[in-house]
Amino acid sequence: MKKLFTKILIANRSEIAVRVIHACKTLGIPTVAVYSDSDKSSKHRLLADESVHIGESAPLQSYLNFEKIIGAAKSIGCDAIHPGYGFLAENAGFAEHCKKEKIKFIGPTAEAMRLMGDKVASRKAAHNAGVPLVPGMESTSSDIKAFAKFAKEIGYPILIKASSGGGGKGMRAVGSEKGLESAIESAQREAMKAFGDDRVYIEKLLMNPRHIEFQILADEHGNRIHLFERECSIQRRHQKIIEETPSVALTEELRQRMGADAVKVAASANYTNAGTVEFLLDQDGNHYFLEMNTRLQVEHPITEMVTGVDLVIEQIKIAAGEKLNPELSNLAQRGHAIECRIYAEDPDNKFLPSSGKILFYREPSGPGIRVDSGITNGSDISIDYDPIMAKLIVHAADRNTAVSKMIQALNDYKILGVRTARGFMIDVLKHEQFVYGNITTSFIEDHMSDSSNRNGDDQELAAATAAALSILSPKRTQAASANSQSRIPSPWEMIGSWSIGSSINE
Amino acid sequence: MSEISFVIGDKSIKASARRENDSIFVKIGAREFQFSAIAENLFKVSAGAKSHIAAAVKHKDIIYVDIDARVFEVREASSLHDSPAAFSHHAVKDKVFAPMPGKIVKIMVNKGDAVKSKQPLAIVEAMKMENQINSPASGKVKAVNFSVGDQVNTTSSIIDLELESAP
Repeated sequence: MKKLFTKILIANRSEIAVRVIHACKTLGIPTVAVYSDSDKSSKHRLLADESVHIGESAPLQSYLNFEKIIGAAKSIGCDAIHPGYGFLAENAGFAEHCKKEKIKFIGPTAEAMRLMGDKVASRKAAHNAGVPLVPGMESTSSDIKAFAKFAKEIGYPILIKASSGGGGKGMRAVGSEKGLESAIESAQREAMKAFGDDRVYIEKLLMNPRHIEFQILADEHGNRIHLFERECSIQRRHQKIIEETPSVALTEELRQRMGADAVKVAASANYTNAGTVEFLLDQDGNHYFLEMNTRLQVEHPITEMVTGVDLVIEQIKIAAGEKLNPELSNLAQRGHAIECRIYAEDPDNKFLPSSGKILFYREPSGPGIRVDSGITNGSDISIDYDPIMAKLIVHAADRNTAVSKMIQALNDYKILGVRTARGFMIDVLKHEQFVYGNITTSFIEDHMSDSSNRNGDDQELAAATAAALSILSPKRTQAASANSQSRIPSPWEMIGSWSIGSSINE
Repeated sequence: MSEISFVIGDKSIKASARRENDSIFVKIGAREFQFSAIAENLFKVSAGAKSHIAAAVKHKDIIYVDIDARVFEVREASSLHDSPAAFSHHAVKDKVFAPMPGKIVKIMVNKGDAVKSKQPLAIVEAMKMENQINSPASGKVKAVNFSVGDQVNTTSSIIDLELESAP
């Protein structure tokens, strides 16, 4: 195999850093993790070949700090940086900085990132490429009156979106003029914090659309392909929690048309590397360009499951200047894949983040089950970072089998110490309308507020389990101390320093 | 045979348990469950033909149980001798708590302000998400105990209220 890079630094943490490390290992490229104070004993640090401490826990002091990350890369001899998603992944300034220091940024160019990262400019580019758009403002404003005037023109409800946005941050739905001003202020504040840019704009809020996105790969020689769609309609607070592919809403003809439009959007930005073109699909089957995400997506594994392509490996090859393998243009979607995002959140408390220490952790396994995780027993889930801990992905021959497999895998996944929405996601997967494939971005509001859909709420069974634990381990009071006390240390741990064939005291 | 009483939420459940060879049998009312240990803190539970995998960990007087993708917080009734009120401070309406640990990014009221029920009082941020805290009742602001930038947990009151006396 040709040497692609000497050493890759992963400028991220948790599950996505672990995911990138796996791809690098497959390619035989040494990896460097960076970590903050609170990630000292994190999984991503332990799995990388080398690691560099880059600062305090607050993201601005560590994972968002250009100088420290590039300094670490230079000091340890890295010739490429993979940004993962979030943090610096869509920061054009960072990509430029890397280029200046002759370190390859594994992702698109700063120019493409800037164009697509600016939601207002990217809408213009897509429009010029002949791709349909959701009605919205053509520029942002700092004048509340301009927002109010535009909102009135297109009619409420409207959606406030961050110009640099993504992941639901800085996004607010507003039903009438009354709530507009405070929603804009709040969206600006959240956008400033998440993206360092407080510009927001207004779009018409489509009623009950589906969220369908297309995966793109583009090399640095002008070859561009799409790797089909991902249906990401199941969202709470404008953030995806369950994704699947293929989408039941697409006919082969519509899939071809949307895929071709996605490639057109990528071409309009001279886009290179992996990216995702997001569309809304209305109930009449019309699709509208929403935005392009210039990074690897959280939900990329479902595309990998049905196409067999390792997207991170492709990203690294593209960044090293390789041409897309011509065989990639003959891909087919095989079977059905679903992903459930495992956030530290409390579904019984409005999905608010839940932080704390992982007291018990066990991943499910079996044919067609994949877990991308950044946590393990004893991990601390800090309030400093995004609450995503892991992703559970299943693959099966057809949608019904994939749904059943996911329900079983969620049942077998054990996480104690922080709350997760595993049970809630089973309720979604078992809901009649989900089973029929009738899903829209308002599915959770429309169908899940009714607690009669709740499965597995057997308090007696829980009490019985508590009784079994009390009988088996009556003296243990705390999980962490129990583990350390009950573990019998290996003789190798107690022997002290030793060596074979020489004295250590010489 | 040993008897243990448990509390889940506001529900009391009495269980009797016995050990037989490698299994533990637990009876609750008319239902009987059979447990076998798979690993530390991990059990196979059989109730009829169907079996489940359950995880359970005891941490600071609470037994956390994970079964069928739901998590339960179970307490032994005997551990509840001290003030049960400590568990229900969120029901107190004259104190305003953060819904999760985080950082205060905005406080919209000052000491002495009159507030209406559901009026926004403060914004707390955690994991890059803002959460607005609304007033649990109508009344007057008696004290603001934190300022912008402070870290808060869910057990110390951010704002104390003097409630409007009931009409």
